[in-house]
Amino acid sequence: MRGALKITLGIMTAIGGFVDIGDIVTASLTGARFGMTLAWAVVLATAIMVLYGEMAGRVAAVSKRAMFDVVRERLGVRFAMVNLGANALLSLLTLAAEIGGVALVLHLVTGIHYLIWVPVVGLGVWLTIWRLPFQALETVFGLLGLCLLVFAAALVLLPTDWGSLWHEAIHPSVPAGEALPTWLFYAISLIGACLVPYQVIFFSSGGREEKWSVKDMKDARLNAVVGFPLGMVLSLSIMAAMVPVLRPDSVDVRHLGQVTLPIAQALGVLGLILTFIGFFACVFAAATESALSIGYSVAQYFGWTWGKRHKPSAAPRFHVVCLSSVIAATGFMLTSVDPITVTIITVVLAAAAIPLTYLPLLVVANDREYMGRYVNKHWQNGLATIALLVMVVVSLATPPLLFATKAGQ
Amino acid sequence: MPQGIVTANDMLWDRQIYDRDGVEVGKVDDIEVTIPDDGGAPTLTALLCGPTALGPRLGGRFGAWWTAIGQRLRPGDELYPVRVTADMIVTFDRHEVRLNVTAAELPTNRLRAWTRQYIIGRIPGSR
Amino acid sequence: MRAIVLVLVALFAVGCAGPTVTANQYRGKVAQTAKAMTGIIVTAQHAARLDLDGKMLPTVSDGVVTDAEQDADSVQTTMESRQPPDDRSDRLRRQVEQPLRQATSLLTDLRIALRNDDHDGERAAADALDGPLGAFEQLSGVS
Repeated sequence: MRGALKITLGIMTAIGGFVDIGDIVTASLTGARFGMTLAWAVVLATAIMVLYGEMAGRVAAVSKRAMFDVVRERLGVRFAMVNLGANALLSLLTLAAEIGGVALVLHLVTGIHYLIWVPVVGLGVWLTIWRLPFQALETVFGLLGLCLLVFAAALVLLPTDWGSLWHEAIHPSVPAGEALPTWLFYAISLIGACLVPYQVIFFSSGGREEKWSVKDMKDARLNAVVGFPLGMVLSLSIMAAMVPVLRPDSVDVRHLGQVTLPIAQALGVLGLILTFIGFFACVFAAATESALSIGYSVAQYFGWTWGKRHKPSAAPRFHVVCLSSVIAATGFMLTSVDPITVTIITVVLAAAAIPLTYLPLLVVANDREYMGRYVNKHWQNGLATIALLVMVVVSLATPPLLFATKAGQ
Repeated sequence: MPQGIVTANDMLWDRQIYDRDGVEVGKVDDIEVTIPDDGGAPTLTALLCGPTALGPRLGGRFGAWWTAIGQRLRPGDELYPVRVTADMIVTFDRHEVRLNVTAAELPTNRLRAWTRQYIIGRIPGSR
Repeated sequence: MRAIVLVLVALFAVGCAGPTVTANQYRGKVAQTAKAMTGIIVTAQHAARLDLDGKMLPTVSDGVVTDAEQDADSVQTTMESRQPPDDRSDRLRRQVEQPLRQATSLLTDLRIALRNDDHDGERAAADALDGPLGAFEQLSGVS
């Protein structure tokens, strides 16, 4: 019974943890502008996430090593250093976007300007890293994130044309009046939002934090295989909820407030409150996770003591890295750069950098010396290779599309 | 190189070093191999740790820069990296190196001790 | 490496290049402006009507309408800063400018009514926004 509870909890946290400010912004933006014609991008990215999330969990459980330990051991100091730099920079941008996102949510709830909230949120993120136990972090925020199911409920209550939603989703085509490069640009932003690098680093390091061993591998696998697709349902329902309300006038979603309009229409004030709780939980958790993942990756590269399972005084360098990341990201948001713009730039850059995080994982999951009999099966390698090809195509296509569409205008 | 031959570099580079109590000491950034005076087989005399060992391996301008920073951080601007001598090693395998001393006794501990004393230790709730 | 950076910078500079040159491009910009304004007005109307139905948190309707007002302002500034290349473009400019002014001032009215909890003013401003909305819907087809 307790086992079943633990698994349900794991799955539910995976659902909540999958969605962050990048998913919320890109899903609602594309839903309002392109309907469900880009749903395929979310499905594709989730499939890749399941494949590689399962690998990350397995590597952490079997080899008892986290991401950057193995990256450095297997791929050499130089490659690992480039990788570390790129990942840390991206996670820092992600962290900034999430901090801005939480501040926007608080602005909508309280009416107080978001810039006043930015330092408060930064402090909150750091305090969570400093004091809150790892499991509380995952469970509390993951469960609260489930409030976002209101988007699915709203969809039922709104005058939704299910037939055409479904038709658009399974027959993707560029909507009239839109250019192909723009459409592809937003497809890439959706993929980048689902496959942010911090998730894999956090997932594999989290496995070590919770002292996973081979016998926890089943749970980890179930969390990845069931949790992520259910998280995808959340993303898709946000996208779909925009269609009946904002699509008819192809509203350009540039503010978080616009995203809540379908909810208000369907469910009123109660729905709004649930939405804000869900947004807050998901985005705040993502902020904490991206800050932690910077600390994790740097400490793992240099062989320092890391993790929330130690007291801060036992892992001082790890905590210094986390603290400075939070300060840097908060400072960046205080320059009054628009959080939504930062979010879009971040997900697009993330799309370009996907192979950097995922290739090493594939290499390690095939290493018999680390993985013993738990190395990748042939079919997993087949799928993973196809996925990697997709990632490389995405990453090569990103810069030209970014310029051709002037960032999706 | 003929197949089946494993170099000391392959065996040791970038492995995690733990002290007697399982506390992380750092990574094997490089190794020190000495050829005895009598001309016998070269032997491993120490593991080298820290930026001045890692910098040359990173190579290029970035590596030189890394080494320079590391040098400034060492007492007396010493260029030669921190040595973990061979007699401290208890076991090593493909994953890790275990020592018979505690991290506190080693000179690799300086940054850790400094950040603990001056930054982390001063924030309430660090213990 | 340096070459790549230079190419990227050059591309970026071309992408940002300022004033519109041809009449065709100008028409495109007008259509784009009209489209953007349609979205902005619809959003604000939506928020106002949901607010009147008691389905909104006051802070949220305020936030949405204030954002819409600011967006409309910046659209107006961008449009006015463009130099129309010929007489026909200039006539087009006058066609779009009038509803632009109307929309921004109505959005301001709406925001003020909302913050004062003045339901009649809110309803009036939201309904009056239908005027510019119609004009923009027509104009978004010009290109």
